[in-house]
Amino acid sequence: MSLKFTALVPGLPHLLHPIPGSPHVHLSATMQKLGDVIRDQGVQRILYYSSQWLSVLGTMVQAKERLSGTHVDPSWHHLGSFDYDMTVDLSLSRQIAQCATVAGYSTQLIDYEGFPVDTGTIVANSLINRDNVKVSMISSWLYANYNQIKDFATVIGAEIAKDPTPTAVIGISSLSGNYFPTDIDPREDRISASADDEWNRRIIALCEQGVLSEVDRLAGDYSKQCRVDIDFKVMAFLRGIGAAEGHKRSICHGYQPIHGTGAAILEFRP
Amino acid sequence: MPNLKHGQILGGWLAPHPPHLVYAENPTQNEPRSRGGWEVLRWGYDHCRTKLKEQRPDVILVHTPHWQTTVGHDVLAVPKLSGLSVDPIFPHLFRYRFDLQVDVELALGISAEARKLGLTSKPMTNPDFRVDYGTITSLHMMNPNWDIPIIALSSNNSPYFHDTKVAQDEMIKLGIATKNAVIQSGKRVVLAASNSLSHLHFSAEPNPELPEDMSREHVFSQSQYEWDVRVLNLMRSGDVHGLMSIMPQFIDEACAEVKAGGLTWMLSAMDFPKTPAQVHAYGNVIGTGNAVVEWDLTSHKKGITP
Ligand SMILES: [Fe+2]
Repeated sequence: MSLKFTALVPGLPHLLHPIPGSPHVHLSATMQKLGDVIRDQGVQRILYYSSQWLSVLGTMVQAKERLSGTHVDPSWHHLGSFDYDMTVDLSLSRQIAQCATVAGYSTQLIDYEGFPVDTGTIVANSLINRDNVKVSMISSWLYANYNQIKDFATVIGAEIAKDPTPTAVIGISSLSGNYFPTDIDPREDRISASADDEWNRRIIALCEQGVLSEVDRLAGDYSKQCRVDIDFKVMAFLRGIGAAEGHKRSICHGYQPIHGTGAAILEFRP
Repeated sequence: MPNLKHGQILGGWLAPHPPHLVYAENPTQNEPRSRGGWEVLRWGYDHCRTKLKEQRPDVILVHTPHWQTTVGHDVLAVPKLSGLSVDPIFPHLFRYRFDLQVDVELALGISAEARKLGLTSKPMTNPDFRVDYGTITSLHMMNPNWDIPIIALSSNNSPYFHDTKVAQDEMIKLGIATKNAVIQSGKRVVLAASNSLSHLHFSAEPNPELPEDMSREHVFSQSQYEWDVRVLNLMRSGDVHGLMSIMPQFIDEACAEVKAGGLTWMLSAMDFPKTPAQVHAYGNVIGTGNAVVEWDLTSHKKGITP
């Protein structure tokens, strides 16, 4: 079994240089600790699936060997510029694209200088992957539904399992997505609505109890009520790939607000 | 020092931004090469190029749906920006080296006026910022020499976060803020709403081997086409109130990209002109409806003044 570690993490840039006294400090530190756990488990490559990398004409898989540059989030540009430097596991990317294509999914390998890497992946990689192990990343195909993404991920999961390289899969998404529409003091950040907070806690509790089929069942309602990033399809991906298998309990390492949205760090037991 | 000369909005353009148009033209700034394609839309932009050469505006302002901001209506406010812009959806068509100048003074003015009207707005001052492909495509098609300073305005997320009505009201305010700032600036300005019309598109490129295969290009559906023509006829007849009243239905039924607010912003900044607009071109790109449309405010009066 090559799937060593799986988690769901937030990917907003507030976590890279968190304002002291804000809840983002705890999230940022926890994600770094997660990176230590991954290293200790001997993970040699990380596969990212981010709700912020959207594709329209099928699925994209990153296939540029070196991704480096300076990133500015279009929305949160005042939070600064972030340098990134990642090495892509080309054989993994090609393997993923090939097996998806064979299974009938329209899939494209992306190998372009200057192709925009999404904020979520840059945030997660900066905090978790400080040893710079090789990475790969798959886009979120906008027009597939929850079950289609789950099925798609099952195909990828089967392929990864054939290869003994110890692998981590990290899904990047917010929970509730109702942000504050105006600027706020980060130290006074909170979940923007109590109904969102209740939903988030309910979903986290189900993950902790290992009742993940119930999470699948509620994903549609939850997304509609709380504007979860891309209808919580990042969870569908984690479910399909085998990261969040039924009845295995998950650990919630942190749950905090980011500009009113819900952000949780959930580790799944593969 | 107060500005004694009032600024003017000379006109506005509906300036759609499918990256295919830049790809088809083979400019030196764009890396991929093509055999052409989408000529009618590109010829439509020739009218804009000619007009801008005649008018020599001080600034072109563009509102773009592909710079989305969660909080507020932000305004590009860095004097010079350059870099490589790669379209995240069509990277095989659009990898464009941009090098542009921003009119920071007017940008700060617009942002300040927007805040005065109760909107949230920030100047974008990060020098590493990568300009979105919507801004670049519309502006390249309007003025490929980039010898006129520009300002880009972001699309606030409000149409998706609230609803169309709230979002349209915000865009009307942003238009008023823009007009006020232009008048105070003393500058001659041209506006651009970077939008397609109907926005349903094919789920895959009809001919991936030859994206510019015009034998495979057509409108997504007859109902999308009829919506586009209905909207264009309202523009052509100068029925701006008719246009504004059907906008929410157009957005819903044709998934119109004007949902992002650029057209409402532009019409508001121009005081909802009853001047008949000139449709220079209409065409489809991967099924979407696109038109190059001009409102020339200098043809009947000397632009918007106080
Ligand atoms: Fe667009």
